[in-house]
Amino acid sequence: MTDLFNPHSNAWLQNKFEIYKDLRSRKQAYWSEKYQVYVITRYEDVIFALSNPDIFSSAMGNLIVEDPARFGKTLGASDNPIHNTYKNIVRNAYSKDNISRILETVETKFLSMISGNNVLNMSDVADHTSAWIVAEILNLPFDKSTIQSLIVGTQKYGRSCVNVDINDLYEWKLKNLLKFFSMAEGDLPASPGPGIYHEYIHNNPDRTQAMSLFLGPCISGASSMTGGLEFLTLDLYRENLLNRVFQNQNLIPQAVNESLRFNASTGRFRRTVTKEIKMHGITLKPGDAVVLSLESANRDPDKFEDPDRFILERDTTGVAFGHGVHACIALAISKAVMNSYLKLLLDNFGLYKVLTENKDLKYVMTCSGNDDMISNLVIEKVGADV
Amino acid sequence: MIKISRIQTRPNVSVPFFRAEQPKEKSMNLKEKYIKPGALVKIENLMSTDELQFESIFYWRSIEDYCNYLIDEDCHEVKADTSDLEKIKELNLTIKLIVKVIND
Repeated sequence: MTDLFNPHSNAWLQNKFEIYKDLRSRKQAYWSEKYQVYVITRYEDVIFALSNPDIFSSAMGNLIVEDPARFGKTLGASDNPIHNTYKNIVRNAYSKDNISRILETVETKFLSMISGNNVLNMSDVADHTSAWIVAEILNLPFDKSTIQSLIVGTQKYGRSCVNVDINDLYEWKLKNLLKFFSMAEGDLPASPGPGIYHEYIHNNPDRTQAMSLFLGPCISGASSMTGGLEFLTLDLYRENLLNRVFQNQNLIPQAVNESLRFNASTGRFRRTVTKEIKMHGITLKPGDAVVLSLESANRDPDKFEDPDRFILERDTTGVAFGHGVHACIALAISKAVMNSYLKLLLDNFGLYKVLTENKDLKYVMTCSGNDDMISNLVIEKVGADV
Repeated sequence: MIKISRIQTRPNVSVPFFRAEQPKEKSMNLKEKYIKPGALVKIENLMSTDELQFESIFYWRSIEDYCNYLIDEDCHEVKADTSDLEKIKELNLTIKLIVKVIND
């Protein structure tokens, strides 16, 4: 029988919201034989699980397809107090001032990618933009364009990111650099400015070594930002709201929030149950694995009226960035990037139509199964004589 | 100039130190691309008297030269993961990387 939960299938990714409708309405939470997890789809349940990390632990990973080597070693795959230790080291890298610096730096790079074109492969533009953002968040004392290109290559071909078309070269290079900067002691190169490297060497009194604090943004950070930019571009057009936002750019923040609720690029997280608990018609036992579907929770009609409509006035991201202890550290920068991106796109490219038909959308087959990105989103300037 | 020390410590002398195996061709490339132009100035290996600590010291012209070498596939075997670190863990070795700036 076909598994009704299958984030490694293009057909499933194209049709997932219809499938979630069925799963939410069932008497019992769905058991995925393929992934050996219960799929938690209702808003109330997802919020409860995210609010109770003592019952729904991240210590045995947060990815749908996990690697035990990550347990307790990353922000996402750890519970407190480890999680907070990591978070406190890098928290300042996501400050308001640093976000402003990053946006200013990346703006010219974004404009150079889109200027002079009537047709854009937005998947490529989003990939490159996200990689520039992450390279700036890391702010390593090494050539930033090299780091950016390694992030793009790792996103497309690294085995930590995708499970097709693998080429180890980019991820190998990226990890070699990050291994050095995260392991070395002594007369380390001075930080070029605010960012994760700066915090790692100046705000890390116990000298905690965690390459994941650098690698995480390159992998899950860049992919969720890429997906976020793509879905914003796609859904505004698909839901016939582009013209309205173009005419009144004060609506951009609302468009960003609703886009995140409507189509969260990081759609799902794993948790492991630590205490017996009843949820959605089943009794979960210690050791059971669950997938908390943020994307399904965000379409739950018990929480959101008319959830399958993109309504600008709704103005909430729902649980797109998680909730509670594990709420995404990059929430503010992600929203700022999406706001800035949409404004720059509308001001400098103008109204557009999406050339890729819905049935032809190709999703990136991510290794983790958590994040959704599109590999072939193409847009054309309205009125362009192509 | 910078000095990068890689210090391995083992629990007893029966545990072998980790040694990255590189094909001859990669070592030749290292010589041509980094040693001859003066980017990698010299390499020293030191064993402690109790033989529990092994230090490989690399003198590089600059951090940038060293980082360029780290991502140069002509001089390394490209591996799928950070398996060196895994091997080191398996062998129960501890490893430290210490950077020291040396005034020329």
